[in-house]
Amino acid sequence: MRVANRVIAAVLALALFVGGLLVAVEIVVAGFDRRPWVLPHDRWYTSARLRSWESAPPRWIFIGLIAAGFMLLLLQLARRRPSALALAPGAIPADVGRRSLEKALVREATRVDGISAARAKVGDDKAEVVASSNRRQTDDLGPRVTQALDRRLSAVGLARPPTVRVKVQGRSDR
Amino acid sequence: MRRIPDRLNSTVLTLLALILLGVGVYGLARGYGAFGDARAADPVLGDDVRDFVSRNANWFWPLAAVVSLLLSWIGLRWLLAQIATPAVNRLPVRADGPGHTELSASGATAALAADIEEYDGVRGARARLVSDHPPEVEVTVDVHDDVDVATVRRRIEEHALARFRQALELKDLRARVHVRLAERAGRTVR
Repeated sequence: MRVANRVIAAVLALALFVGGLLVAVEIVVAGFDRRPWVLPHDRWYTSARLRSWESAPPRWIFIGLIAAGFMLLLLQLARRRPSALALAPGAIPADVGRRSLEKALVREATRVDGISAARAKVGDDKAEVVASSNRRQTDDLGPRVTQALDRRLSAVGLARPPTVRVKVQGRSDR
Repeated sequence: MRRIPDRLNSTVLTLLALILLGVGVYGLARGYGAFGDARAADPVLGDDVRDFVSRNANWFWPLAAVVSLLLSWIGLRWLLAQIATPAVNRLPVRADGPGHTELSASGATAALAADIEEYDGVRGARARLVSDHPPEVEVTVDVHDDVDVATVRRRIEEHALARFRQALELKDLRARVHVRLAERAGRTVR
C-alpha cells in the first residue's frame, strides 16, 4: 500500500510540477496575444462556455472525478499492516521489522516436529500462522505450535505482542 | 523507516480524494438539477466568472501565473521527497580554537555499525545519521533468531551508542534502533 501511495504521489507530483510550469508559460504566452503553446486552453474555454452542466461531457468528467476520488479514498482507508512493531519501551525507541518477524515465526513453526511448512501474517493485534503437516492426525500440533510461537514472540520483547492464531492443515485437509 | 514522506503522501492523497469527490458530486448534482433546472442549464463557465476575470485581468493573470509557479515548486518538492533519502553527510566537530572541523558521517556510522557487529548474535548492522539538528542516528541490526533481542538492544544502547556519543561529543544524540530477525546460516525458509 505504501508503494502504491509512493507511485501515485510521484506521478501526481510530476504532473503538478510540469502542469504548474506549463500554465505559467501559457499565461505569459497569452499575454503577448500568441496562440496557445502546449495546452489548448482556447478550445477548453470555448467548450466550457458552450456546454451546460447538464450536458453529457461534463457529466462524464464529474463521474470520472468521483471514481478517482473514491478509489483514492479507499486506498487511504484500507487497513495496512505495520512495517515494524514497536519493542517494549527503553532508553532508545526500537522496533522489529514485520517481515522479518513473520519469517522468524515461520522458522519457529517449522521447527516443531510434524510441521513441514508454514506461512505467517503479522498485524498490529494478531499473528496468523497456517502450518502444514504430513500427518493425518494434527490435533496435538496446534497447541504445540502456538506454544512455540508464543515463546518466540515473548523473547522478542514486543511492546504489544500480537495474539497468536494457529491453523494446522493435515494431509486429509489438502 | 521512511515515515515522513509516507505520512505526507497519505495526508495529501486523502485531501485530494476528498476534493475530487466534492467537485465530482457537486458537478453531477448540479447537472441533474439538484440546485434547480436553470442552474443545470447554465454554461460550465458562467458569465459571472468570465466577467470577474475580465474586470480584474490586470492582477488576476499575473497572480494566476505566480500561483502556478508556486504549485509547480510544491510539486517538485513533493517529487523529490519520494526520491531523497534523509541522510547527513558531514558532522561538525566541536573545536576550541578557530577554524571549522567536520567529520565524515559515513566514517563515524561505519565505526558504530562495526562496534555492533562484534556482539554475539548480531549478523550485520548498518547505521546512518538522519539529522544533525538535533543529531539523530538510525541503526538497523540483523540479529539471529535465537538471540535475546533485549540483551542486544541494551548493549547497543549502553555500549555502542554511548561510545559513539562520547567520541563525537554529541550529548544530545537521539537514536532509533530497527531490529530484523535473521536465520542462522544453513537454514532456509521459503
